[in-house]
Amino acid sequence: MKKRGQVTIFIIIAIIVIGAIVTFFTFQDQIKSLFTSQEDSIYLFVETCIKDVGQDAIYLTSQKGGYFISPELSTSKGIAYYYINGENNLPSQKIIEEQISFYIKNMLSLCTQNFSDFPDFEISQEQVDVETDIKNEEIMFDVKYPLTIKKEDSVTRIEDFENIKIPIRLGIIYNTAKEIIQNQLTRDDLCISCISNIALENDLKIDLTAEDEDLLFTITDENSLIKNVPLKFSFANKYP
Amino acid sequence: MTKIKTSKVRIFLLISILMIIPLVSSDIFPTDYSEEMGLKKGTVIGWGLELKKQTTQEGDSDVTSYRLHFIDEGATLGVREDIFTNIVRELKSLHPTYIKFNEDGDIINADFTVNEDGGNYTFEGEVIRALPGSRIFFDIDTGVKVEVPDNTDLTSFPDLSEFFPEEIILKGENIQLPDDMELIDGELKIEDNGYYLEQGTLEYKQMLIDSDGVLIANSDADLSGYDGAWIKQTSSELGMQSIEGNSIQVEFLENHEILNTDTKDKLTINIENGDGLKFEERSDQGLVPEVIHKSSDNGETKIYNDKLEFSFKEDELSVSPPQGLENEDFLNKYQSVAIEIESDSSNINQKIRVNSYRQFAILSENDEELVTYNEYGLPISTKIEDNELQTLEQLREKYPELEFGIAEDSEFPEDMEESDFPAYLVYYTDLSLESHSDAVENLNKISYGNYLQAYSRPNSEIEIGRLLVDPSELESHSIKIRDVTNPLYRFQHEYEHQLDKLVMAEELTVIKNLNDPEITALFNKAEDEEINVLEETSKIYYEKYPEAMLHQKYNEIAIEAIEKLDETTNPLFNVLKENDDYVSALTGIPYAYSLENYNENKDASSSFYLELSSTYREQPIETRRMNVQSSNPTTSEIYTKLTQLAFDSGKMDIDEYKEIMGEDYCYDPDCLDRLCSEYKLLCCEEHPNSINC
Repeated sequence: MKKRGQVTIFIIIAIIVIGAIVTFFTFQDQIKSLFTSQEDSIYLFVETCIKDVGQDAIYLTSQKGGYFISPELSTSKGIAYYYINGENNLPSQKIIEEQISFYIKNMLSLCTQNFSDFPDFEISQEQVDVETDIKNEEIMFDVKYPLTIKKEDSVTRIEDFENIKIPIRLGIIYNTAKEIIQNQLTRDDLCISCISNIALENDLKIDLTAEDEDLLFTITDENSLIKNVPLKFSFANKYP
Repeated sequence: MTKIKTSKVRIFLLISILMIIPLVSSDIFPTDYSEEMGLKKGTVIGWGLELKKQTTQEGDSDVTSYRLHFIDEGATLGVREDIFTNIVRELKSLHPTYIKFNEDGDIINADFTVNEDGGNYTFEGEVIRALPGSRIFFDIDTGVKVEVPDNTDLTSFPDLSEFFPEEIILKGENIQLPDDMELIDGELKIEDNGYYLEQGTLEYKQMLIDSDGVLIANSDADLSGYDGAWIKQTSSELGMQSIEGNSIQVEFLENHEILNTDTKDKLTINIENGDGLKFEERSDQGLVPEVIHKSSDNGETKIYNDKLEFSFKEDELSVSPPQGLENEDFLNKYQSVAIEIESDSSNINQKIRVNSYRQFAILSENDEELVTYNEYGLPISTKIEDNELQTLEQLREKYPELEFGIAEDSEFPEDMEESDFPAYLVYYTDLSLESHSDAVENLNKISYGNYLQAYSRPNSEIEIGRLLVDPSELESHSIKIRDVTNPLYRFQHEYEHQLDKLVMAEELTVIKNLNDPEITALFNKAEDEEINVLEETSKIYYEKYPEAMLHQKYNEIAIEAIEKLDETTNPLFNVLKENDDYVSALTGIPYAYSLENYNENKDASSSFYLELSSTYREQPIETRRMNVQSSNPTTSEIYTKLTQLAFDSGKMDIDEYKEIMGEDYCYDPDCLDRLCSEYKLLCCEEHPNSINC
């Protein structure tokens, strides 16, 4: 009788073990997908932060002529000079892209807040690298943000956040500024009809503000909204 | 004996006569100069004259001419049938006084001044009636010019053409003429359809006209077919047209009928080489005058409107780059003339709208603003009523509840007169008051001084520096303090201080009524001793009660921001700190200035500087909106709190609140679900139905 009892226990244990194995293999995809969907949410979270920070970067750099750190040749308010006493000082599009990238690189962590929104995960992060590409109708970000995500025994690594787009016409705005400067280089006065034709062609509004010997240009684009606010891009000209 | 005696007497008389005759002969007996001049006897005779012969080389031949100078009093010249008399002698006229002849005895040149009797003089068969004191110039190539004495008034002559028929040029300075005209300095001809200004400057219908040839046409003149330069003004229209090789400059004076100018307005136009302008009065529509520019192939038009210089040339409209304003410019003249300009040039499709405050806008054909200048978010309007407010007196009329005047007891010199107030300052004051509907109720006085800053003063007074609205007076350290360029923001800043004071006063009343023994004792003590009731009460209240006063809430935010700055390890901090941008970049607080006072006194209970409140509120709504939505949680949190504080304390209305926070931010249409969430002391008294109370 004792032997029969021991066998019963072993059978029960065997059933449980087999049951667990079958259960595991039956539901392993769901288990994996449960873990993967949380990983996706971390990805989406970072992507949202990139877009958010990216928008802030565009907004803030646009206020100073495409610079986050004002260049040496700028007004007392830190707005870059694009034209100084007959000389061309227009930054290249690449410089503006680098400034935006710089901002995102340094401020992204303030948005992700050490992933405190994901307490179930242990997430370590490495240095952020950002590539910004300004096109006519949009700005695209490629971000390398290496993250190691640990949960229990599972470790996942994600790092590439590519082709993140923001529909801002910064390329058009930059080219408008470039056209204004190129026109200015050919003359001493300011061709208002030329500037207004450029504004009309590109569906922009341009405000001029005189400050001593500087003239500030602010290009407003109602078609480029950052958090529902039209983008304003400013730069300055200095006249002799 | 008698016979001899008689002979001796006759000889004596004859000798005497012969001796006397030479002495008087020149006055009585004319001299015939004809023979000396190689002319038939009797052609040229006169007295009191001196003949000078002149031989000059013209090409290969010698040319002889003769000048008869009028040297004696009453000198007279007869040339064939024509008499030249009543001429001031040379020594008295102080200029060469003569008539010059060629070898044929024709008058080719003359220069003489007519005496007090006036006279008629004939040149080339034309009789000139010369007014007393006139100086007559004649040249066979250019005709007769009559220079009247300075300041001569010719308005009493019903028909000046009697004295100045066509082809006779009137020359002089400050000559009053009929038809509301004054020849300032120059030469003009009187023609059937007006006055032709040959050269110089003329004042007409409140215009100073300067040209090298323009017809000032009668208002009813028909100029169709006229191919010269002209200016013509009627009661509703002013037109002007230049021609190739010609220019016209017009400076508009006070009270010009079409442009409605005043003493501070400054408008000058210059057209040349074929360009034209037409000004049309539109007061019946309530609009400022319209100006139509008529372009030409080689022409140019310049419009100097106060310090704005517009130029139409080669199918382009340009403006001169900004010039640094001098203080005197700002004191004396800061007013443009409100007009709207269109051009018939195919390449200039836009309208130019200039207001009375040196702002302009370029608009598309659909009246859409494409380019603006010094807009500062202020309207650039073509309505007369929007351009009329220009003096302090008008402000007083519009806002009788407020006092306007020069700042008293200011720490800055009071060297400003009311007449120095630029119109722009009046305009901006009006717009500031209009954009704050409760300002008239909350303020007592707006005063002005001759400096850059603005202040919130006791007794509900805001003090504004005149230079605050002058874009050229940007202080070099403004980036460290704040953006001082937009005048509306400056008013908002100071007004916010006033609102904070009102809130604090109301809070004190509520706190006093708590009947807290310690606080009550303080108020009692204040009746006998000089103590700072607000400061002392705040300290006690902050320690004992959970719902902080408004200024304490701001202090808490500021101190928290300072601590975050002190703690940050963000590498960006070190880079930004060099430019003082770090405060804004890392915490969202508007400027380093916003926290300046808190650094010294981290006392949340009783720090009263409240620059955080005012610098937040002076920022454009879109900036605050952006910051509420910032990806930086610190910035977002701070701006949400600052916005909530302004709303909870009643300083911000619901429309502005929703514009910043978003239309969907509140569930309740009156935002009762959000109200009083940050500040409760007065808010819950006012809105006890808020779910946060």
